[in-house]
Amino acid sequence: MKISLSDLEDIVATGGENRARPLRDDCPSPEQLALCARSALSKKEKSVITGHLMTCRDCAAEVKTILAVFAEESRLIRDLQDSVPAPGKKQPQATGSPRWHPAWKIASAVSAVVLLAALGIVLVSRFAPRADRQRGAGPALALVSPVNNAFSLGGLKFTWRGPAAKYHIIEVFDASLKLLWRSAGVAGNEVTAPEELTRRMKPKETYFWVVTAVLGDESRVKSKLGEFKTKD
Amino acid sequence: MSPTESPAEREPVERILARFSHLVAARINAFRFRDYGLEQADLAQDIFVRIWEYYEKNDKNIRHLESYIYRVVNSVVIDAIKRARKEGAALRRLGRDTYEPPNASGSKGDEYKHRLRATVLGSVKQLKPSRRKVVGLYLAGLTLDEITALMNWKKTRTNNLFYRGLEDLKRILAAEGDAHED
Repeated sequence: MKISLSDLEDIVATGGENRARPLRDDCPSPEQLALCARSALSKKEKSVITGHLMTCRDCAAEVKTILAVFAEESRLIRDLQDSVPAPGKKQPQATGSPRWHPAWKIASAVSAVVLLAALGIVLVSRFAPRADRQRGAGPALALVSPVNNAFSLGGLKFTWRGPAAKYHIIEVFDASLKLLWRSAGVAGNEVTAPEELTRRMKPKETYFWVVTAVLGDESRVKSKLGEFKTKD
Repeated sequence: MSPTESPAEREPVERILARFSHLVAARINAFRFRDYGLEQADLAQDIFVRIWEYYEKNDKNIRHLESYIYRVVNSVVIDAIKRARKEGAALRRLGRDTYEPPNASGSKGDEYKHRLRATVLGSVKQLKPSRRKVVGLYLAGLTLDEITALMNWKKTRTNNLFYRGLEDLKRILAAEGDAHED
């Protein structure tokens, strides 16, 4: 049997193995697919899911949708960052078309210089690494515990290390990344899980957490998303 | 809208959020969700309202909004997929899900295609793990850009693994007598 490139494309069109799985009991959950697409799973877990995707056209189609939506999400965040001034800063008000006045020649020359300087600042700030834009950029903020292993709910304590910060904000999410708890400003590098959080957590479940450090100049550094499980 | 916020500040956010909500709804809708009763307009409205309300109620700091957007998008897309799975399973149990993948109708070429698929997928299993993953995901319908995003790799890495994988695949098929013809 000779196989041509168009045959391969035909296989692509029919989506790999065409298994009939009416109930899809062995498929990863939508939460797992979303975490996989966000690269928020361990290497091993990700490998299991991508292995499954190679043989399941239903899950592959769902992942295509998730990736397309996440791409729009990244574009949205970029657009918002580019379009909206930081709080407290006012955008210049639009004015009507001015009548030309000789004295404005000087003003326009000064404006041109200011504009060029501003443009330079904007270009430098756009292309310089910004700690508050990307996780992992700028000073490192590393999660220490709980990470990866199973932890008991009693006395659950979040610890991390990173640059000196004015305060930290800790956020804890469930497996579908729904926010369960957000701390007030934490001065040190650890905080004990309050009862309002532990009450909402269940044994043998997966949770995620992230720390945001607010530095002296009000810039923010975010840690990577940490994963942990709860014990019985 | 807050009294301290000018229309000039408000409009870009509102416009961008509205465009985003419609784009996300369109992406979700493209995946047969309409078959299961999900309407694009409802989805777009839901996404827009949830993010906008959060923006209005809080300090209007876009950096704070970012993590909320992640959660809204996650919950919307996960809910949509769960609903589609549930509806799809119900339809399949009833034998009413008439969806067939493209080119998979009951023509007499089906047996040939089935054999072809089995041959190629059997050969893919012989590839080196990293190349097998890229070729396997490609054959499952993902584009190289999607594989790059999913694996969190650089595009060049995905391309290299894919083309080396294809070369290996051709060699394996040729050795088995199923020569690949360019």
